[in-house]
Amino acid sequence: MNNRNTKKHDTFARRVVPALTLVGASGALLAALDRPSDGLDAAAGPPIAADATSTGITVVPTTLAPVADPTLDATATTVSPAVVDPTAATAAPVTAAPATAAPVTAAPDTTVPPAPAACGGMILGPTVSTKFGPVQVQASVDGTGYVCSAQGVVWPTADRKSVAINNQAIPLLDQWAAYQHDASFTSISGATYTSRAYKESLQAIIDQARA
Amino acid sequence: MSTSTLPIVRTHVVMGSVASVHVHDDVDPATIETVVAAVFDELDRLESIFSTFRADSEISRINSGRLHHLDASREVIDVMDACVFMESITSGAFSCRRADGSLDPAGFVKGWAVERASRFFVDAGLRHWYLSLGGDMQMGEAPETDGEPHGWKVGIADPNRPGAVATGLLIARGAVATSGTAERGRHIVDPRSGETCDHWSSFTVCGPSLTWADAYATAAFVMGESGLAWVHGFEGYTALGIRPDGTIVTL
Repeated sequence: MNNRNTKKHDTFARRVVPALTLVGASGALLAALDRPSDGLDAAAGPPIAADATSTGITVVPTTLAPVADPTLDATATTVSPAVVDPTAATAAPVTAAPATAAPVTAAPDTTVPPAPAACGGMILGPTVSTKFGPVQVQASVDGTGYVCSAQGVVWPTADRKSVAINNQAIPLLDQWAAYQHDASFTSISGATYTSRAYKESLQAIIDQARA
Repeated sequence: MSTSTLPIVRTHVVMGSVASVHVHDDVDPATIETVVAAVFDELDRLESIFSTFRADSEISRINSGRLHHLDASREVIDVMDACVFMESITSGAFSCRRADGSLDPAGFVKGWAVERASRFFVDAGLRHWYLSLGGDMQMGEAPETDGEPHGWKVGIADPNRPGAVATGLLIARGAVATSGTAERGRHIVDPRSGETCDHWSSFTVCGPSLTWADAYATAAFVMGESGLAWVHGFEGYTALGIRPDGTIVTL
């Protein structure tokens, strides 16, 4: 377990460095990708909980520790403000968060679940088209949707900028897939072109594995 | 009431994205398959009407002058009505037209189409289902759970760290839509000025209807800080914004 994580750290570091050199040219995607170590050291955990009863939204920790008062209705109306600042050292749960709530963005040691019993062979996900070209992922998963490994096999190569960006981004996304497969979420809202297409192709594989 | 069985999960490539269906109802699988097929067929049908990438779509024919919008199908007229309404209540922060005046309702159609297609679940009497298209989703009642908090667990992607989850929401039923973010020069622009909107990295709206949650999220993203309170002015709708510095804000 530790060996595996250490190795991932190394791989990450090696890949992040070249990515950094491209940030200026390639905009938000790489600007974002050059920061994954923030998440890995758990320094900037997003909020644990917002006020469920007043906002109509329960913000649950991504580690999904039990939430005390969870029942929520997307149709509920809301009134009182609850501003959650993930950067504040005092980012204690606003209400209703369990005392045991772990930091949301966890280090790999806590983010990567125990190794699965049985990883299947590599499965090809669907090709997802983006404005910049097709994206396709292959991954091996176990029966519960655990992502054992993931690899981008097709990504946009239509123009030189795409190649430069994706040669960096896709390997990083491969790494992220293993960290962020968090199967406990039913679904994920919000993402962007290439990374979204990547996740969609991967999601299809996870969905089939769990079906 | 047994919902302990694994859900039936199906995916379908449509509208340049992947639709994902989960059905947890404990009913005849063949019935579920029939409903899921109808849902996907409806999405395909709506794509063929609205795609600006297909020369023979109604929208393309309107844009090329081969079809008058008053002769268009009921669906196109409904969507145009809604777009005009959105444009009006947002003072132009939301628009289904490009700068050159041609129609491009793609930003509205996705949420609308998903909600519309999801009616097949309701009509078939299914309760525990969700339909997601590229991360925007309409959900029936969350399945019963033993011990765990009740609700669909919806992760909100971290707009500043692709592949990571910024936070999570528990939603008993309804819709979640997220607008954002800038990737590789693709930005959400203010239709009035053509300028890039950078107040939010992403903006999420929850509410009963995905049609409006999706449209409100796009409009509020453009509005900036005032978008939060604006969304909350609609009964039943709540918002969560993520700033470029990673701060998560709700009202």
